[in-house]
Amino acid sequence: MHWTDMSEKEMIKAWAVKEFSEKLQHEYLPQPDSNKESYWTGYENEKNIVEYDFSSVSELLALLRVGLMEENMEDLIRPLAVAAFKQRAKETENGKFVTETGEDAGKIEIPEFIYNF
Amino acid sequence: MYILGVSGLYHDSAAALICDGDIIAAAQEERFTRVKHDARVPVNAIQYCLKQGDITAEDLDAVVYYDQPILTLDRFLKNALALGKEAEGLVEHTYPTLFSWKLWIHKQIEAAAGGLGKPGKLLVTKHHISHAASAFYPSPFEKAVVLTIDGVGEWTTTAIGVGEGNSLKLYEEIKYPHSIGLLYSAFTYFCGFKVNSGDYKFMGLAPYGKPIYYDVIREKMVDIKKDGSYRLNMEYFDYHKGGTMINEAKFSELFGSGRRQPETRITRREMDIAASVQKITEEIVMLLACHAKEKYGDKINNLCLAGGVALNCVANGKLQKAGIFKNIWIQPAAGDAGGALGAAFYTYYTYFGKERIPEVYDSQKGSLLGPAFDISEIRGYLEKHRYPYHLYEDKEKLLAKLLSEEKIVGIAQGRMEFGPRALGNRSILADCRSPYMQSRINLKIKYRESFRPFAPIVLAEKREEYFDLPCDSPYMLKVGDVQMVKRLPFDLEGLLSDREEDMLQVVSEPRSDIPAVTHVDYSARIQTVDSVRNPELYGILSEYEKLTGCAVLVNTSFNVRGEPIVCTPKDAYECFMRTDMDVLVLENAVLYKEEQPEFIEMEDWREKYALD
Repeated sequence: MHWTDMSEKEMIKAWAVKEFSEKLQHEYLPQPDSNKESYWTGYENEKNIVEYDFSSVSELLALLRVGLMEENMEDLIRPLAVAAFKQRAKETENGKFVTETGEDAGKIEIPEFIYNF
Repeated sequence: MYILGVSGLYHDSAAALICDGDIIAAAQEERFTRVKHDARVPVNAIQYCLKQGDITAEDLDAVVYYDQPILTLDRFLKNALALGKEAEGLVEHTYPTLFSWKLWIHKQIEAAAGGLGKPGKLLVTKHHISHAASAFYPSPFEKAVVLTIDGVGEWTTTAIGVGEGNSLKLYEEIKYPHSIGLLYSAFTYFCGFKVNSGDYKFMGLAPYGKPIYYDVIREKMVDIKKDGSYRLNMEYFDYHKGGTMINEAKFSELFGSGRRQPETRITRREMDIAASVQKITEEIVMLLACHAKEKYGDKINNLCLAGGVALNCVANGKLQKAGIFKNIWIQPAAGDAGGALGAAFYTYYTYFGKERIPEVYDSQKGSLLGPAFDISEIRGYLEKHRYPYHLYEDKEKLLAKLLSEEKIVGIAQGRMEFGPRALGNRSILADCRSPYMQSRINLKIKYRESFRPFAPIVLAEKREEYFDLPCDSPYMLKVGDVQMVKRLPFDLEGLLSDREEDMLQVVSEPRSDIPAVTHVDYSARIQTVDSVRNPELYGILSEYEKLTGCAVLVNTSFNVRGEPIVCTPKDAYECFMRTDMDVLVLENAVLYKEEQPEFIEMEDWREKYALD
């Protein structure tokens, strides 16, 4: 994939299109299945509490490599780290929040039309 | 050992401070910023907690956030991957908040608190562990089955586990996109209410309707297994695509027409949809509890509940009555705010491995964990503004008399409540015997929809005289029915037909001896009041009973529609003056409306507080 001219956001979209498969769709957005007796899955307790810290791109890369384990995410990890640093919200003197690139970082607001998750 | 827990960036941000396992303070950010359900990093709540503990960030042994951002990122990416070409909306919607804010939570909390405590690093707990911890650790139980149900946190929407001593583990989960919370929110949206603040209204609407859509929803939209696990038919929903909650075309197909526009007339269709969705929710909650009991609760009679769905007090009341578990304890701040407290507790008991000794009632301290204002501060405020007031050493008898005369009393005393319910410290109290009180408070005090019911407070020892509920409900989280002997004949169907579905007229028809707190199906969202958890409120209610023979009052939150519950004396005074309340009580200072000077505001509060 040639990502050199794309923003990180567009890269995520392009990655989703490229890596899409029906198998993954069924895995991540499964539909009701009359053949199943139960939809319960086991809960993983190992990392119920962890340290969360990074200050540099390399530290975030390390964090993402541990957290995003899927093979198909490998190519995306660097753009994700770059995106985080480019998009980081910083408060200006007049109380507005902008990203590193000077764009409006928006506000944390609860939308009325969709659950915020 | 001091631990600061923080929730935020989704809904209802909050902070909580515990010291050696004891809750020092907990508060939602909305109460300080006056922005309802404020989801921003809770700067003010954090600062309040530190001040209450008389410490600085340097004294903290740990700072913990209630959610793991990398897991949320993982869900977002896999969700996008499963959508392929359709991921555009999801990415556009999610990208800014995730990359600008959520991934940077450690830096934001550090800035808000002035540091990350002695370790200098943030801890993060999983979202549903935070909920589970908020329910189990403050509960009075040594051992309990724990059930968490919410919209979604990271991947999880529903989870079952067991807590024992200081240990807490979750064993099973249901994952996104399948979620009762999101199902409920989808219908809340379809019926013209706001997604994040309208769920409670939607629940209140259900008793007006009949569950005639139950079968079609069960058949087309949700598959429920015998063990309570479930999946949604995602063809009917749109939230996973970052759009609105629902696929409106598919919903319209099933329910005859499109979404009800907000603030338009509520019709029989919305009432029936609400009744149907409530029935399904109750069915799932009941099956989940049965499964939890069967698989994990062989010799456990205790259940702890948290997550936003645990605020569905109708389902909670039915669960209690069903007796699957003898004892049920629900975290009063069951939504995301409580996650701050849960994260702090989980860190203390599990991360640091500290011993836990459950308290007889519970460790939640009546959920009165927020700021208090002493009388000198209050007098200073009132005198600065020349607001006339009277000081009373013993105000209970006076308030009982005023309430018996149908005066509506706003009361702000002691520490503010933690959680969405006002439990008597930031409450509006009124006589429940008047058939007109419900519509009067709704329309002239709260400025909210006429159909919405009010909750009763009842002396704990008189609970069974008035209500059919097999246990105390100190946090207003369980619904029970008004006792048969208190009821009056009430033909809801006939009234709805006769009055052309005008709910204002319907609610004005008396249904019991305590009509203002009796919903149209004779149910009531009960708060039992005892002298241990809230002695001040108990005192007022006791005096009122002596005077009137009635041990029940209306208790509704001290705010107007769209406004967070009042926090400070200033908030309380302004709300008092904007409405038709008769009396304001600020600790021992009592203010009468007729004595107050004309109240002029530069800004129209109706513009400040958007309708919820």
